[in-house]
Amino acid sequence: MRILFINNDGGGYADYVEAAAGTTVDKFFSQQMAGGKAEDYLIRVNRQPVPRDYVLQEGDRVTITPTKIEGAVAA
Amino acid sequence: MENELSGRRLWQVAGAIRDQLYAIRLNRFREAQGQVQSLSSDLAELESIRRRLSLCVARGWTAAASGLMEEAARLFRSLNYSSLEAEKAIGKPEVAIPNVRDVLEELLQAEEEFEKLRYYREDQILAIVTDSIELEGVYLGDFEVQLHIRALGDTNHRSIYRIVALDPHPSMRNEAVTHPHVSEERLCAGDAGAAIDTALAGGRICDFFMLVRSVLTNYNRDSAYVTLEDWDGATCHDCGSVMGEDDSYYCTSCDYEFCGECSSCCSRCDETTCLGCLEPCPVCEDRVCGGCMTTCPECGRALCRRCRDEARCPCLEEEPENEEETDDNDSGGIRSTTEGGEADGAGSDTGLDEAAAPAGAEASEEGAGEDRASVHPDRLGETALLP
Repeated sequence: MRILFINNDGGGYADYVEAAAGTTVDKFFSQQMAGGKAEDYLIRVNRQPVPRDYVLQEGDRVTITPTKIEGAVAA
Repeated sequence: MENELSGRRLWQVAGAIRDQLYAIRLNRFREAQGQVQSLSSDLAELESIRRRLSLCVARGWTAAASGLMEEAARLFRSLNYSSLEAEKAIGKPEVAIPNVRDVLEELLQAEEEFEKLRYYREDQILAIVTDSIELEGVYLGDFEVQLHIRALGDTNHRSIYRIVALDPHPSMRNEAVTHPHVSEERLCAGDAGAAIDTALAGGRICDFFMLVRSVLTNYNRDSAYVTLEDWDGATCHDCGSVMGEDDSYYCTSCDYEFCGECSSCCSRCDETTCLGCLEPCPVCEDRVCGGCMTTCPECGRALCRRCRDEARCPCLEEEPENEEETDDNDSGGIRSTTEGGEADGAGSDTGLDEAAAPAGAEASEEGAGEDRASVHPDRLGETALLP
């Protein structure tokens, strides 16, 4: 199934990705954000917070936004 | 004037944002157009060189052809650069412009995430308010993140959004710094910079606000306008008093900060130096830093660089006098022996002339009569042998 994945980590991008039927949010996170800790991100499906065991549906919009980002001083 | 967003107004704001997204998109094309234009000019120049070079070859003008070769070599370097820039500008990922409903959904989501969206109609500013932020025990208060809709299409991203402290607790060191990563209401987004730009270009307004909040709720000690350790002002390393940024002085000798009363500056290099790192030059008594102290190359005595360069060490001042004295003694002695040569050794001291008297007097004081021969014994001996 096709999922619209919006990744706000790093440079940020939005793209469609394929996910197997029955994929939970937790599994989707570990597939897309290898090495990342789910507790360091805000995960929204169709703009709403969902439990980790939520099973993704065809056409879902998943947004992953980091909560720990380091600012800097202007160059 | 602050307005809460609802109903028709929400649609209007969503429409205004969408219009600006077209401006962002147009800017991207403008940038690509400029780069392609530059590349095109270089290519036209190359064609001109080609034509002239053909003519030179056909007529056997080797000197002119040689000049054209150099021109072409320079142009190839320029072509390489403009080609890469044009490729970069054209290769930027295409960001789809969302429809008004998508933007509206972003606004609705932002309302849910941040409880309330604010809209300042006159200035077309969309804003959210963060919770009160406290980082590592330092209370910073809550912040309003203002998105200037009219500025969305600006190429200068700094004007697009501002971070306004609603309950300001600025650093004692710099009142313009209300957050370790905010100065003069500008956020330095650091690692979030690219993601924020992408979110704005795609009209993902809620993602933009969430990313900014993520930066505001975190602290990067290594890259802060003012570190939280110094937020309430640094303390003087000497007397311990709390100092603002304008009242603190960094000692370049010991690398600590001091208040105005505990610091001064070096009389030689003018570097700010704490009182403890300044020492008086034993020669001129000016207070100088460790870097401006040196030693006399003759006697090894500590003194400032200027006193060394101007040869003001006391050891250098004493030397010429000693040499003079030695010369006087020598000449006086010789004179005494030669002038008094006709007399025998016993009566030689009476032969000293007036000019040689002071040195001779000194010698006679030390010698006290019976020790006269000790002044110049060898020469006296020689004199005795003179005819």
